[in-house]
Amino acid sequence: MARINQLSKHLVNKIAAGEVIERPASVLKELVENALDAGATRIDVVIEDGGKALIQITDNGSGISHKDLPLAFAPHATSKLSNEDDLFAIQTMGFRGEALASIASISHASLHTRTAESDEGWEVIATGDSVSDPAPTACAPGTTIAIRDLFFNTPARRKFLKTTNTEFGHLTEQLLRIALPNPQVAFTLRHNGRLTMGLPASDSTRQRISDAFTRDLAEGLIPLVKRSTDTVCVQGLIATPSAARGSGKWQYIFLNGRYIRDRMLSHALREAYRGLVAPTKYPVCFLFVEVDPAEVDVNVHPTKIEVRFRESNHVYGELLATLRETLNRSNLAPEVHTPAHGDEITATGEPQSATDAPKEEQSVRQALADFFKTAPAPPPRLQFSDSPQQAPAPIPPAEFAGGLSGSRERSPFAPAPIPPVPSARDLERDEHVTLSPPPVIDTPVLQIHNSYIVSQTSDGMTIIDQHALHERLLYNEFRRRLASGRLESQAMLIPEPVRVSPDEEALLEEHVELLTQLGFAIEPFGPSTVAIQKYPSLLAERNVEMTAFLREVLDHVAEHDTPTAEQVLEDILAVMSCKAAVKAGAPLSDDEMRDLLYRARECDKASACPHGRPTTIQLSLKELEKNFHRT
Amino acid sequence: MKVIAQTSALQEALALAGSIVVARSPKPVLQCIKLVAEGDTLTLMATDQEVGCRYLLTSVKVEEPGEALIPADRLSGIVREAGSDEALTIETDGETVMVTGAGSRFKLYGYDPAEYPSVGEFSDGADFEIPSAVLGDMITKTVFATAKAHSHYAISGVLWEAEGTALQLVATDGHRLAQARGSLSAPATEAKSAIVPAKLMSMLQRSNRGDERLEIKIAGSQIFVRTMRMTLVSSLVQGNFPKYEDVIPTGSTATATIPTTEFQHRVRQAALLTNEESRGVQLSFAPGVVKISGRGPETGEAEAECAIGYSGDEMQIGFNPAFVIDAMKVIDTDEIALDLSASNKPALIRSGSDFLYVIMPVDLG
Repeated sequence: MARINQLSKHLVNKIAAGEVIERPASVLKELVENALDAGATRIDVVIEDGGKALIQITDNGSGISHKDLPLAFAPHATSKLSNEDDLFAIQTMGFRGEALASIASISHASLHTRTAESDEGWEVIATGDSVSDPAPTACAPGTTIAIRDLFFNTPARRKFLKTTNTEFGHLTEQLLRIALPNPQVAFTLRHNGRLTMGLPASDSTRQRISDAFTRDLAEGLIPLVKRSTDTVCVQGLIATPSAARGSGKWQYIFLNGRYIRDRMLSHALREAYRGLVAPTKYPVCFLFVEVDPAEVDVNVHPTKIEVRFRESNHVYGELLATLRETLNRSNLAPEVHTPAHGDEITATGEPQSATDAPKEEQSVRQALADFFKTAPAPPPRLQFSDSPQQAPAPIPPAEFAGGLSGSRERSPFAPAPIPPVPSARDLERDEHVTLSPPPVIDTPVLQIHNSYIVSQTSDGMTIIDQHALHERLLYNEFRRRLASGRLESQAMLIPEPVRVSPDEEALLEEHVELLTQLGFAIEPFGPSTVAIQKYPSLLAERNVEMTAFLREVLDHVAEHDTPTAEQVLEDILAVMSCKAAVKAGAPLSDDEMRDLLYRARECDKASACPHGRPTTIQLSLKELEKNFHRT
Repeated sequence: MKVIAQTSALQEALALAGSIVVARSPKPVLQCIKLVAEGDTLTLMATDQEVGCRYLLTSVKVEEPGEALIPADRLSGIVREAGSDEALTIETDGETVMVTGAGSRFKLYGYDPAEYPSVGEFSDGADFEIPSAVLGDMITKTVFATAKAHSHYAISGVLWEAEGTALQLVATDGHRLAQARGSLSAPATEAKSAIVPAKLMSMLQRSNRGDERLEIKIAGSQIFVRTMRMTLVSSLVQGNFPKYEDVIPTGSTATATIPTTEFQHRVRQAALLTNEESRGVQLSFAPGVVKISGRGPETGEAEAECAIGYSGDEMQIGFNPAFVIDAMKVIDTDEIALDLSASNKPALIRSGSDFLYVIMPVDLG
C-alpha cells in the first residue's frame, strides 16, 4: 500500500488550478477581477489563439509594491482578506488568494507591475513550480500579466479545450459579465491582433449595454421601478417582452456587482414575465441585485458563480415585486421597425412543459394571495423621471457599479447602513421613458380583415390583434373579479359528463376549492367520468362548450410536472378568457373597437395576451417617415 | 320542359324553398332549386341534404313535362323583379333555361337535374295529424330553449313525443327546459318519438298559415310533414335526449302566483345594471311580493318589486334574467305559477295546463 505523503506545494496548486481554472475564460475572470480590485479604470485584454497561446491583461490600477511581489504568486496570499470576519463581509471580487498561484502553476506567466508612487517597474516570471526573483524593468503604472501556454503541463486539460472560436466566445462572454456592472471602467479586447470589443468608460449602464450589444437593444430597455428594503436592492434594465430571446444567455443577473447564476432568481424572472412572453422565450434583462454582504455566502463555489442567500425568499419576493411593478406600468407594445427587425415581433412557440417551479404545494389561499399580490398596482413610490429635481442626490458615478469592486471604504454597505434609495442615476442618465401614450379615443379606428384594429396614436399608429387584446382584458377582468369573491355560476339542469383519466380526476379533486371559487362544480360521475354541475355564468353566456373547455384546461395543466394551485388557476383563467374573447374574423362596430382600446388603457400587461403573444404593435411616425423617405 | 306560372305563386314557393338552399357550397348543384313539371303541377324541390322541401304549384300550365336545375338565388331574383301579376314562361333547352316575362328574357345556365340529391317523398299514411296553429304555438314555446352548441346530448333539436291524442315537445339547453303539449286532430296510430332539428322547426314556423292540417310521419331517420301545398322532410337528430322527466321538479315547498307581463317587465328592470360577467338577478320571495334585484360591480344596483300571491317560507334564488324573460315572452296566460323548493334547486314555471318551464338557479357568488 502506498504511504501517505504530504503533497508538494506545486501539486497542491495544480489541483487547485483544476478547480478554478477550467479554461482560458477562467484565467481571464480571475485576472480581470484582480485588475478591478486594484482599482483600475482601464483594462486591456489581449488574446491569442482563443487564449491557448496568450492571455494578457493590462490595467492601470494600483500595481503591486516591490516588497509584496515575492508573495504575488504564493498560494493563499492575498491583500483582500486578513482575518476571518472579513470572509463574511466580502467586498472584493477575489479573496481566496488562489488565482495567481494556480494559474502560474499551469502556464508560463509573466508579471510587470509598477505602483504610481514608484519610479521603477518590476518583472516576475513564473513557470510551473518556479518563480523568478523580481527584476527591475520599465513599465507604465499598473500591472500587466501575460499568461502563455496555458495548461502546458496538464495535457489532459489542454486536450479538452474546444476550438479557438469556442474558447474565444467564452472569453468574450466572461469579459462582458465583468464589464457590464463596471461601466466606469474602459475595456478593450483584442484577439489575434484584431480589436473585437471596445467599451469606453461611461457613467451609464445603458451606454455600456449599447456599446457591448446594440443601440436598439439598449434604447428599448426599461429601467426597473425602484423599491428597496433594508437588505435588498434591485436595480437594472429589462427589455420588453417582444425582445425576448430563444435562450437564457441574455439574462444577466449580478449580485453585488458579480455575475451569478441562480435558479431562484431566474424563476422570479420567468414568473414576472409569465403571460407576457411565450414559454419558450427568455426575456432579456440586466439585473443588479445588491444585498448586504453579510446576507449572502459567495464562498460556495470556487468560481463564485453560485451563491447562497440567507433569506432567499425575501430576495425572490423583492425581485418579483420589482419586476411586476415595472412591467405593469410600462407600455410594452412592440414597435415595428421595418423591414429589418420585422421578424422579432412574432413571438410564437409551442408551450413547453419544462418549468423549474417550486415543487412544494401551496394552499389555494396562498396561491390566490400571491396571484393578486400585484393587482391593483400600488401607486408609484418614486417615479423615474427625466427632470433633474426629482433625481436622487448626485453621488459619484462609480458608486453604484463600482462600489463593490473597489475598496471597502467606497462600499455603500459597510459600515454604515444602506441608504434607503440607492442611486441608479447612472442607469438613468439618458433615460427616455418608454411609456408612450395610449391610443386616443376620439381618433379613427379601422378594422381590417375582421381581425385587426388599426388606430392612431399621438406619435404614430397601433395595430391591435382584437382577439389577443380582448383575451388579455378578460383575463385581467376575471382576475380582478376573483379577487373580490366567487364568480357567478350557472347550475346545470342536466350535468355534463366528461371522461377523465384517474390523474385528471385526482387533480380536479385536489383543486376543488379553487374551482369553486371560479364558479365550477365538478363532481365524480361514475367510472373515469366527472360531471360538470355548475360553471361560470360568463361562459354560459357565450355558449362555451364545456366538455371541450374542461379538456383544454386539463391538457394545459398536464404540461406542468406538479401543477401548483396558482398554475392551475392561471391555466383555467387563460382558457376561459380565450374562449370568451371575441374571435378573429368577427366584425366589430366602431364603438366596440373604441371600447376595447379604451379599456386597454387601464389594463395591466396589455401588450400581450395571457399566452404571451403580443396584442399590439406600434408603428411610429418616425418609422413611417423613414419608409416614405420624408426624412 | 315548358311551364307557364304566375309570379305571385312562384314568389311564395321560392320564399320557402329558397330559404333551404345554402348560399355557399363547394357543390354548385346544392345552390340550385329543382323544377319538375308533370301532369298539371310544377314541383319545386330544395334541399341542404338535411332538410328538404317539395312545394307543389297547381295553378300552372304545363306545356311540356320535364325537369330543370337552376341556381336558386338567380331564379329568386328574376321572380322578385317581375311584376306580381305577370306570368313567367320557363322553358329548358338541355341544361339551359329560358325564363320569359312580359318585358324581359333570361337565359340561365343550369345543371343536369339528375345530379340533384333526392328529396324524400311522403308515402303511405300519416302517423298523426295536428292543426298548424297548435303546432306553431308549441314550437314558439319550445324552440328558443334548444342548445346552440352542445356535444354530449342531442339537445340541439326538439324532442317530439306523440301518444294517443297528444303531442308533446321538449327543448333544453342544459340550463333550462321548456315543455309544451297540444292535442292532435287525428290520434297517433302508435307512440312515436323523435328529435327534430331546430331548422325544420323554423321552416314549419315560416310556412305556417295557421289554418292548415299537418300530416306527420316519422319513419326511419326522417320526419315528414305534409300539407296540401308542400311536403317538408328532415333528417332527425341522432343521439339520446336526456331523461327530461327526471329534471322536472316535483314536491315544491313554495308556490308563487305571478302576473306574467309585469313580472317580465320587472325582471328586465332589475337586469338593466348587470354586466356580461355577472348577469344574475336575485329574486326574494315573501308573502305578497317578490323583490327582484340586480347589480354590476361597476354600474350599480337595481331593484324592482312585483305583487304576487305566495304560499311558503321566504326564499331567495338567483336566475339568469334572460332565461326568465325568454319564457315570459312566449307565455300567453295572464298569470304563471312558480314552484320553488330551495335556492340551489331548479324552479318550475307553469302556464295553463300545457306549458312547463324548468329553470336552474344561478349562484350569485
